[in-house]
Amino acid sequence: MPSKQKVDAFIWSATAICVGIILLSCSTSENFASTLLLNMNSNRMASDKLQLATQNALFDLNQYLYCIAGGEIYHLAAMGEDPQTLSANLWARMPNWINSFNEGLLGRDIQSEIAVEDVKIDPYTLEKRIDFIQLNSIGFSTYPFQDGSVAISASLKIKLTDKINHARFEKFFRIQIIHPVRLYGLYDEFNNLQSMVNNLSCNWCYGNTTYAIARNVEVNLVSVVSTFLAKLSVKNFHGKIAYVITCTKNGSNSCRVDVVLTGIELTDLSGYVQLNSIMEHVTLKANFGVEVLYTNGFGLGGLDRIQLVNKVEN
Amino acid sequence: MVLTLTDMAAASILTLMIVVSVLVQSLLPGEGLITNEICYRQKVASQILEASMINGCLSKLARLYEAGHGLDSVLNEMSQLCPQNLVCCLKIYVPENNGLIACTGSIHDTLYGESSVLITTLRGKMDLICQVSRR
Repeated sequence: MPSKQKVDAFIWSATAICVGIILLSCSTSENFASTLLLNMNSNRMASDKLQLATQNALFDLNQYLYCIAGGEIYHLAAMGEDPQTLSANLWARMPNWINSFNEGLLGRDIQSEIAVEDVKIDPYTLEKRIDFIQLNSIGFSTYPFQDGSVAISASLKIKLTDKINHARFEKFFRIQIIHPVRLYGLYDEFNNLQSMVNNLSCNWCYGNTTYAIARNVEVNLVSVVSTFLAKLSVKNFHGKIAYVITCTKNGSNSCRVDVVLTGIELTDLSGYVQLNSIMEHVTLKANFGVEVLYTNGFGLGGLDRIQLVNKVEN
Repeated sequence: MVLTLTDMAAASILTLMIVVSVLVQSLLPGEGLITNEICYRQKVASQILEASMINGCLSKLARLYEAGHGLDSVLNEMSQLCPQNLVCCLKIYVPENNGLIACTGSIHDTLYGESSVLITTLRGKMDLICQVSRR
């Protein structure tokens, strides 16, 4: 081979090798960058997914607690049970929510450990701290909550692991929401009525016959109950009170007076609960009675037993 | 220096190789870029769902579902959160019977980002899925 041709061949071969090396290194570096980008994106997507899942757990638990609290408040008031049993009733429903949420996350390739603790209810007062974001999430951004509403609090611990790239995320939330129905307000009013009747009923018994005594008790009771119901109306409560007054002779100059408020129904007109598709006001249904022994030094006339039945409402 | 036919052929092949590789690099987006785009769209979908949760849309959906009413109005409200240069599709499935019970919008691209959240109601669970693609 002549020397010029050898030089040309060498130059072309060297050029081909150089271009090959350049292309190879370009391709390698692009592959490296692409792998880096893939890993970074995979981590970002996993982290976004886990963060969204924790937010989802917080807001879903919020609205679930709010929904079940509504139903529980309605039934608890209708049975006249102690409002503190609401905490236990809400607590008992938590395993259902946890299991259902865990199952849902498994379908998204997320392994989860969720714990809901300290489910508590307290009477809401205007001084109480409010989490506006959590309230907004259940549709109460500007609601004028009133004293006696139900403040619900709980803590949520959530630990998530992405099953694909093993990213982990852990978070602790404090749940603070308010149910606007004034359950505690209803019980406060009921307790006021009970203490008024208990304290005043002994002054209502006077007269010479069982009928006169029963009638005097009724007049005084109606007066007290009417004043009580008028005050309730101002606070946007509705009340209906049925009573039975029984005066029974107990010897020649004494009698027993039973004042039983057989059907006390106090309704909060300011808030609703949703029961399936129906919006309902919450009504506290309760009853109580007092027994007064009355002795008249001059003797008692009239029938041995008198019973007066009636009702008052605002 | 005079180029022979062989030299010219070699030069042409090399030029062709370079042109082809440059074209392939520039015209076809790499896998990394595709996942970058999916990642961005998934992030948009997540943020639409997060904003909806804070706005109370999930709570509204739960109450409407419990009451047996339609959910489209709330899905339309949520779709307003979609950025103008993207399109969003919101769907609600009930996992128990794997049925689609509400849907709004549609996606125009096979390349889309997807996020989903769970809604627990007294009637059962719902899956709210948000898909985001290019307009």
